[in-house]
Amino acid sequence: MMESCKKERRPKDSPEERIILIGNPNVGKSVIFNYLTGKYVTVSNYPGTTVEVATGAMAAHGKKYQVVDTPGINSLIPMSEDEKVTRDILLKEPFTHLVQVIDAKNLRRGLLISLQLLEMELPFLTLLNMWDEAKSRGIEINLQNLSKHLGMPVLRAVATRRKGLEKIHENLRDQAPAPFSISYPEAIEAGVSRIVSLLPESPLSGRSLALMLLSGDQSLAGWLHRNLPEEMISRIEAICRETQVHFIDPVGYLINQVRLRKVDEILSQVMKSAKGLPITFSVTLGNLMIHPFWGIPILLSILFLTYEFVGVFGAQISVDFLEETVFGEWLLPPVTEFFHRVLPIPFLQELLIGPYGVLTMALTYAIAIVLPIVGCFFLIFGLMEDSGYLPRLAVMTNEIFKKMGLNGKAVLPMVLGLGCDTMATMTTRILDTEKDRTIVTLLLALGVPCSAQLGVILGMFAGLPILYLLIWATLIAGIIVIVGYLAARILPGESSDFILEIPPLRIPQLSNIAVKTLARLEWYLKEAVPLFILGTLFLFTLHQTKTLTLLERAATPLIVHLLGLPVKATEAFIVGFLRRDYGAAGLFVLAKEGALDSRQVLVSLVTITLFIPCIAQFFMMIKERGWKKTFYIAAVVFPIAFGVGGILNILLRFLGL
Amino acid sequence: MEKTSLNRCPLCGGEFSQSAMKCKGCLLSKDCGLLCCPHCGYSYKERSAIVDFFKSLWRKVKR
Ligand SMILES: Nc1nc2c(ncn2[C@@H]2O[C@H](COP(=O)(O)OP(=O)(O)OP(=O)(O)O)[C@@H](O)[C@H]2O)c(=O)[nH]1
Ligand SMILES: [Mg+2]
Repeated sequence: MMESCKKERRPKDSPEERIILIGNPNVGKSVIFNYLTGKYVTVSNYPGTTVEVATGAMAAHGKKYQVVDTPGINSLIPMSEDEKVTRDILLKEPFTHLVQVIDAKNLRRGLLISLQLLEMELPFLTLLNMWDEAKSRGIEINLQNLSKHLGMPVLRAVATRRKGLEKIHENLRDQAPAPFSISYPEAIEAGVSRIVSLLPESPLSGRSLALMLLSGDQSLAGWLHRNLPEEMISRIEAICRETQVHFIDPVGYLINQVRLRKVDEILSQVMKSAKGLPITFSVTLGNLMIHPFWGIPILLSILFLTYEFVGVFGAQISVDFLEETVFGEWLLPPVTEFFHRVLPIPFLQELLIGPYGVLTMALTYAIAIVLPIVGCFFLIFGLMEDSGYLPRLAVMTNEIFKKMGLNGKAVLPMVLGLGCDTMATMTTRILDTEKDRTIVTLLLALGVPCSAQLGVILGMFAGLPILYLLIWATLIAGIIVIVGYLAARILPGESSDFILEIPPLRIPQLSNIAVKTLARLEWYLKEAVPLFILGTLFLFTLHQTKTLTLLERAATPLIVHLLGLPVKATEAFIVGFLRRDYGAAGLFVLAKEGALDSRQVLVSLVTITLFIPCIAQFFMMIKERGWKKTFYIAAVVFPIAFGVGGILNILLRFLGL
Repeated sequence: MEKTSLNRCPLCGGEFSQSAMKCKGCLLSKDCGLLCCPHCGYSYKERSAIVDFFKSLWRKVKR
């Protein structure tokens, strides 16, 4: 229906009234547009762009209207050409009425735009579309209440079934809204009032334009140059820079945060979320989770549940099933049989199915041991992400670390390190000084286990009394805090807060969690299996050339005498350098075979957690910090790992644990 | 022309375009398919190749 024809634009002084449809992407604007205009539609590129804008005619109550369908936007501070076109339509084209279409299931996103329209002092009608889907998800929205908050009419609609659309023209508004303003941090407000006094007349309020400029909106440049002398523009730019100096985060980001907080305040009063859970309950719970006191027991109980789930379900039930039943009974015997028959070359047999074989060691470790454990862990990660707990977890950790005198911003890479240390090492770039970066890199290398390693470690502790896990956690946390505390004392610089947007708590969607977990597992397999194979080949070579025995003998003073571990544990430390989780998996197997008693489990896990980072992280350190620093870091990490392990071994023996 | 589809970082809540969040590649692999938040550095995975494969298969079957 919307085939493009001539580039027809109505003369600007047309007596017709214009209606503009605006809203987030995919909320049903075009469906509504088609309903309103029928078939008299022109689609043309917005001047100077490739963005298509559809225009059509509509008649109601004997009046003629021209309707414009705009591209979907997520913010009125444009990030794409589409968004710029929509903003420019508001800024430059004369119009009389504005209809904002909101997807009722995504009220939050929509309201963020409503607030910006209110700040622009534009009159508009809000249409809550997709009411059918919102209803089927159990979302309840109080229209009258919302209308009161916005000072604008609010209608509900199901555009695809043409429901509710007939009321649009009765409710069109052309009176400016009642004064509405959100108050931003003082320095931003000061910037706003200074910029407003410099701005020319415009259809949008000076305040809203000033906020766009402070947000670093480059797309206004063209308009500014047409409407203001150069000298004024450089003054505005100077104000923007001066305002930014007050903050660490970009001003645009902070403005958005304030708006979102306002949106949430409105939401909590007009909306009930799914499953009859009143929004106020989830707000209360969400706030408790970041409460300086109550947040801690909540954090601990969530961690405990994670440990139970990963340790018992992942490391015991799933691993037993996969390793003993699937691999041990179903897969390996026939495969072994097969290779014995078709591959009568002992060397190749050894390579594939020997004690250091690719199938018997690399794949069994990767798939039967680490995979189920990290799978459980990823599932929990997904749940934390989608429920909105993750940012709260970060806030709580941040609080705890801040009390210990650590720089707030430095904590973040360490929390991220629990996901992947290699990635986190790269993240140290967000820190301000090279010293900060070096310290965090050191801490990451030293004490932060990555998710895969942590999973396997939790799995091993699940078989022991919880006291052991507590000793491990206290030791590792203690070492991080001591090193971090010393580092923070030595390093000057103010501690800075890292701003997170705390989303509302919500019940996660199961399908989404499943997809996420699956996606992470795919990623894990792709990244880990090649290195597991490489590590196995390395061990295999060492074994074949008898170097392994030599190495084991050389390491005996460390492994056997200092740490009190069986000599075979040397292998775990060798492959642990290729992947942290591989090393932990090696210990896991030893423990499962009964080769380690509980003291040895604790000592070996403490040592391997502190031990040299994996090879990827090592290379990342070289890339980010250079050879020299990486060498120094290794020189610090190695003695600490074995020193702490050795002392622990002696202490535990002394205490008779 | 890029469609405006924003990804929301599950950690800091920042919203960024898919292309801004795409992992730039590291020493391990060129394209691990992870999304990485430019604001806080949190990296995560949104899409599963297996699920995508079955979805495209399903679309082909429907046709
Ligand atoms: N269930 C339901 N689906 C709807 C409703 N309104 C629109 N849709 C569907 O939502 C999808 C998007 O509709 P569009 O009209 O293309 O959305 P848009 O706002 O124009 O999207 P952009 O132009 O990309 O910004 C279509 O598949 C519609 O059929 C509604 O009220 N209920
Ligand atoms: Mg459209």
